[in-house]
Amino acid sequence: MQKVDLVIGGLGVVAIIATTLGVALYEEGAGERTVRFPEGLLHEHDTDEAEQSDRGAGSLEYEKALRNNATLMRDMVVTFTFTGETGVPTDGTGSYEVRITPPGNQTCEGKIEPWSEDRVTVAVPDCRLAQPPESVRTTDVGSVGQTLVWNEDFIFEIIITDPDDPLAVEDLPLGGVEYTYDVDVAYKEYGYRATVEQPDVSSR
Amino acid sequence: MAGVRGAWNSRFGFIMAAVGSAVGLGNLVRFPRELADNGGAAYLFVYLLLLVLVGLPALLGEMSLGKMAELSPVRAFQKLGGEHGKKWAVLGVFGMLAAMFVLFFYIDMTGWTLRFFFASFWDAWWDDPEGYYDKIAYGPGAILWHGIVAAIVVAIVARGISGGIEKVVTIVIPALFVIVIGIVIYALFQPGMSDGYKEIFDPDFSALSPNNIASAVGQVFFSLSLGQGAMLTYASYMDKKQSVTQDGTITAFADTGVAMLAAMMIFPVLAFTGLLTSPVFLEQQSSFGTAFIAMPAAFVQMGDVVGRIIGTVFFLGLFFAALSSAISLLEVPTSVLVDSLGVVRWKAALLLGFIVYSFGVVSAVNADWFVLYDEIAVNFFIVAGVAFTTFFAGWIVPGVAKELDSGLKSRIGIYLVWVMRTVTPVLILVVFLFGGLFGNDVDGGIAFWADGSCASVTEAECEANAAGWRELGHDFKKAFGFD
Repeated sequence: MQKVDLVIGGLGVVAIIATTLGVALYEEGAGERTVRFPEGLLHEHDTDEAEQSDRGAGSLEYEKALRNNATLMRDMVVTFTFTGETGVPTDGTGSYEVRITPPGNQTCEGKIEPWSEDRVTVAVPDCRLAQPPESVRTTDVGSVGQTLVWNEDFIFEIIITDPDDPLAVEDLPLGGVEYTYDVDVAYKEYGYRATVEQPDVSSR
Repeated sequence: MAGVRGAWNSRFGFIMAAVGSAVGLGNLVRFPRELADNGGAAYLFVYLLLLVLVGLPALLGEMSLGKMAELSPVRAFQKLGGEHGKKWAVLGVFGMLAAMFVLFFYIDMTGWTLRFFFASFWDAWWDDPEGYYDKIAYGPGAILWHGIVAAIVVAIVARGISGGIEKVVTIVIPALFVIVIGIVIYALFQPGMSDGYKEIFDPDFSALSPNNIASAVGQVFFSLSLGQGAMLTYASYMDKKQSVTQDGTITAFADTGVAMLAAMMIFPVLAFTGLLTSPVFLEQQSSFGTAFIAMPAAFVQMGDVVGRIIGTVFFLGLFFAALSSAISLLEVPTSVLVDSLGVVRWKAALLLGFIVYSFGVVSAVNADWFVLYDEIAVNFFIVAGVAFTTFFAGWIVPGVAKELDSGLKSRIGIYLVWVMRTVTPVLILVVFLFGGLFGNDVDGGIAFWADGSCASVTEAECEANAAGWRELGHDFKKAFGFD
């Protein structure tokens, strides 16, 4: 018997062992996935809120991100337009604050703008999740091809602080003056779709 | 008889074998997606330019070496390398290792195509077009079909060039053409198919980015089966009277022709079955998803009779394309053992078949290994193989230009060698530098892979968020059990 015959015999045994190990150690779902996180625009939102009236300071919760997998709120612009006969408070101490609260106890920078003109535009810094939401930390991975989604809210909060009014009477802020304004909120939601998918080959 | 080389019975046999080596799943499924995603006719224009300027000279250079040496890669480099031949022989090893690493997962993949074909007869994928692939791609069943294909490939290669390989390729390659052309013609008469043509032919030059062009360079190299020793080995069995330039050019354009026909098959079918805009197709980012998930879903839409028939022949065509490539890949190390060590052909084929099968079992049960083999093969061995082969043909071996002119009336060999010396190495470098992006197409934005790497269209954004989002990738890795 030649050496090559011995080598072939040995490799045949290796093939049998490989087969046995392959079958025995195969775990359904193991290593089947390449997880892709393409970030793309999920939704552009531009809401024209109804006319609001306000006698004094308060906060208004305007909008939530409702799309799956939102991980970034960008190009956020909140526009306040004063309407009504009372016009704009002119003493300059009032302000609008836009707060963005991302999901998962994370924080984002908001923006404050003073009441200064009859139309105030607040451009809010982009708010990006620093970590994945708790809800997606799961070992319950489905089959290949499944697109994992999460549904976590970003909360817009608009806080209006009235200007100081030296003539204000306690419990009757602004001297009883009522201001009316429109609020327009525009933003773009970006998100990741965590897609569990098969690998691809780059050759052949 | 030990160590006896074979030869092609006919020129047609060689061309079919070479085309079969070049044409694979990448031609039939990956190229159409690349075409549609990267600017249609604009991408095609760039691809053809690169084919002529880069791919063709590199292919002809590799074939010349094989024909001149009449030996497999390792011995060919040794023989043609002159007094330093033994050192040059090491370069031939790269091609051989590239072929083997590709085979580790390619046999497995060919098993999928064969299983899908047979599954057509018991409605296995018909009843669950979007889920069947998921069930069969990995696991004990995949090992079985991996073994069946390995046995088939070994049996064909063991029977030699004319008695085995040529007999098979002269049947399966023409059959593949008939299948693809047949489906293209059928699709032409279906309402709604024109949207598919728009996808692949509407030019969009704005879609051409440096990454896409680098990807096109890579696609040209890999599609022509370069750097793996396959073309060199096949050419070593050529008749002296055959012209490398003529036959190599036919091979290159036939390879591209099949890819174009495949695009004209896949996208019109998806269009007239309504799947072009469906998540079933849109969510498939990989060639496998298109071939084994989207297309079965499309065939089901065609109706009980037509869909079954077309689906069955489609998967038969995929099998033929994959089989002919696998044969050429196994022939490389087999011929090395025959030429270098005098091993009897069938024993060499069997020995290598066991090796390829055993390593391939891992990729039949674990996709990470599947990808790993591909990455090692492509990003290292193939790129090195193309670089070394082209360098060797362009700078080291005298007489390549003369070989390229053999059988021709015009003298173009010197120009082809000039391209091999100058243009091709630059573009190989481009492929090498961008190599990590191949197979990891990013469809805008930031993508994080299982390994936590980051690829982004907007580099600044990626840098700004890389740390945080790598963490995201790692968290997902842990969640999905990669760590």
